[in-house]
Amino acid sequence: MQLLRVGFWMLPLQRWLTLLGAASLLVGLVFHPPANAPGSTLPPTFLGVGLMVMVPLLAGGVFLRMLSTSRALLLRPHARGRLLAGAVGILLLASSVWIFAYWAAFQQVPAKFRPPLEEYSLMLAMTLSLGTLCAVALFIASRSPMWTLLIILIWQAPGLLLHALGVEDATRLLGGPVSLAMSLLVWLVFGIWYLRARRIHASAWGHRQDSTPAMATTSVSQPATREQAMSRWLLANQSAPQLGLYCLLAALFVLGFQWIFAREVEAQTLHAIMFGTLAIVAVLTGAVGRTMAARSRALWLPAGRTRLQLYGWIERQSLLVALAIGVAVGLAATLVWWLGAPHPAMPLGYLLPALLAPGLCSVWLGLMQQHRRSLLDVLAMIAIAAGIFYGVVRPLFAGSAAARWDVLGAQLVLAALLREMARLRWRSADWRRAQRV
Amino acid sequence: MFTLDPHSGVPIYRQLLEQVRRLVASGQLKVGSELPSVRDLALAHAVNPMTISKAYSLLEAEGLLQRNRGRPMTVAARRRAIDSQASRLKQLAPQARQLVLSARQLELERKELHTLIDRLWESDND
Amino acid sequence: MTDASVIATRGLVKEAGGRQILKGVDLAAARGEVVGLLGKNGAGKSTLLDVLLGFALPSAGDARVFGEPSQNLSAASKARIGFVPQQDELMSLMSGAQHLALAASFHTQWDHALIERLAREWEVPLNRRIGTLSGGERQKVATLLALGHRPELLLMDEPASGLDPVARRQFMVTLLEIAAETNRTILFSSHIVSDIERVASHVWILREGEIAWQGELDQLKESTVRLLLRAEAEFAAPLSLPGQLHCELQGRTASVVLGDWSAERLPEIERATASRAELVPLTLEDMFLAVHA
Repeated sequence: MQLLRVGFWMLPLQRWLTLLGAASLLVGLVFHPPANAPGSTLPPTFLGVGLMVMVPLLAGGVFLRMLSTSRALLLRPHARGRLLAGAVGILLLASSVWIFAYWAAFQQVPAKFRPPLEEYSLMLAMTLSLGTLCAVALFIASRSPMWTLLIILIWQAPGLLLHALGVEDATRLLGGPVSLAMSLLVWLVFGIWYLRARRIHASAWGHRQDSTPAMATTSVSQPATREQAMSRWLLANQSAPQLGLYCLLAALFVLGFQWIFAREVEAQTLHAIMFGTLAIVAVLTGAVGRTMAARSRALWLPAGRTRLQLYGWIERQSLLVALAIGVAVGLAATLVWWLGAPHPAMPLGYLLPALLAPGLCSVWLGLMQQHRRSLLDVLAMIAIAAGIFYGVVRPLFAGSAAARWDVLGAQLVLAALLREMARLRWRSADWRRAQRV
Repeated sequence: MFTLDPHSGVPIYRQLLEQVRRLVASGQLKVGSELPSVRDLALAHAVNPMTISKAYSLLEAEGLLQRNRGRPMTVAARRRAIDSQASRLKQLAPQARQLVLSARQLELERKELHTLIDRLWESDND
Repeated sequence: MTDASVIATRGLVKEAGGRQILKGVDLAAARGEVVGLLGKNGAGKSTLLDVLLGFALPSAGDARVFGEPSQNLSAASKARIGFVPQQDELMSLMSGAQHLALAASFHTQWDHALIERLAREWEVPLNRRIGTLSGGERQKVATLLALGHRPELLLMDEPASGLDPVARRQFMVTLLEIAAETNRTILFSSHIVSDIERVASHVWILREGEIAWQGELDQLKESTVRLLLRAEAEFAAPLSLPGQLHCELQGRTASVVLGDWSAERLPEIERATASRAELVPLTLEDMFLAVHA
């Protein structure tokens, strides 16, 4: 019971989504919008439910890990069993609700447009399989960045493999009894490991936030100027070019993987996938910004600046790192563009900025994470994701040559907005003490 | 009524033992007067109730206290013979020893110590 | 290791990171005891608790709780155990009340009245997210979580270390109330010695992975004393009296801490050292220091 609450209500993010979703659902139910052509517009009910179940369905694995690390909790009778059962239960519930919404959405439509019954069961199976994969994958990925990278690699393999093997309609396959059986198997294996594991490790993602103020200038091996020491502290002893290099390597690794397995895929799809990946890599700048913001508290004393000055300095550092990552992404993108035969119809001159613009927005979004999060952050995240989708993935997928300058422009405006927000927050609010998850 | 110091080298139960003995011997705790319950005393001094109950049990075994069903422990009517002068003096022996030693350290004469004791005895009687 | 013992270990050895943390530990705690586990930082207290609860596996030897091996505690035993870890492992995004509700859902019996009363007495804000609470408040929440199902065995790792004196006193009083009823057993590790002196009936002193002393606190206090010896002549060589734990010489005076004390030994010691002996009170902290000297 309580796990339900965790699943749907815990994070502010979740609350917003659930509320938005519920509101949308109500609108849909009450207003019965005319639905003559089922097509590209999503009826509000559908959207609403989608928002509600999105988080528990997709991110359940992360919560499971968070709950499983507390030793005191694990000492309760049947603790792990119940947590596991709760996770599966939530998955089942979320899937059922989703399918129900799907069915309800089509009730508006005259009978001949409605999909046959077996389609529902197919969708159910598909949702369950997807949910299972997400849950387990996120559980594993949340262990540390290394694991996340691994999961990203493994995640792409089956889809691309299937394409390579010439299986046409992968979704059919996913919805069939085969995949259901596979999901069951996955749960079984995972369940057995989970129940027997001696110790579940806490997520290593949030853990770069230690605040030991005096340490900033003294723990460096070569005493350097204050600026250098500070930037070294911020980046945890790595330099901007180094981070860029890591990103380049990671991106090339993932891309290479995709390349190898997806020879047979339609060029457009492949392009969409690869460039989409690159855009996501660019968004990693957000993570960098966030880390910097978190570690900056320790610099307040040694830095000897006003808040705005400190912010300006950190912003510069973040942009430096973003530049390094941007260069990496740009190089990778150019490579893909030249080697991808045939060339994507989209000109490189558009593609490169389109890839980097979300990254720019993310930098300031990350810096903004200094203080209490609000609806604004959620909206910004959605906006950035939409930017990637509409600006890069969709056009490539459709094979169009028309550059979406409007999307690009919107993103630049967003970046400027986020910058102002970040400055405001830094100036006015209290520094958050570093917390563990 | 009692002062218990958890930090002294003397265990808590023993402190309580000696204090009860002294109070009874001096007559401040008359026969039949009630002692605080184990729980109340333990909570008042923030000490383990088991140590209080240990002291009470020992006192009961000595015949000093009497357990009443459902009511707090009371001071028992004792036979005079148990509480001989010798045993009372024996209770005082450790402290007296300390006093003598301290006096010696301060290089006081025995007579001076006697004077001090007499003076204190007089002032306490007021 | 009798059946009546709630906690029992035999020859427990635990190695980690290439070194031995626990080197052959034999312990037993019976029902109704309040055991204080004393030790320096790094002596192995937390490790001992981890092994007892089954979070870590012993490298050698045996550890049992309620007669069952620690690695495989049954669900029934788990329901009788409460644990308060040193670093609270609470999720900062949930509130205290949510944590309690989550914990309550695992147990068939949960004493809501008790938790409410304690939350009021200790002034714990249950409706704010854990991330916004101070360290002491978080410790209080962690303690509440362990008390709700009325466990027969309560294990606590440095439970009061983050609390101010008022909160510590409240905590101790509550602990005593719990211990007073129906023979519950409490084991807590602490380096705040004064708390242990108040509350514990038994003491285990852990020094570098071995048990330096184990037994009743009263007995420890009675058998360990400090003697101040004053001699006519200077003490030439360091003393070595039977049962001596610690000795400090300064000219004509010597301060000696002895274990195995009884009053009859006084005259013979005075004779042996040609001095006058004076008994000086010794707190548990002094004893602890002496054991580690």
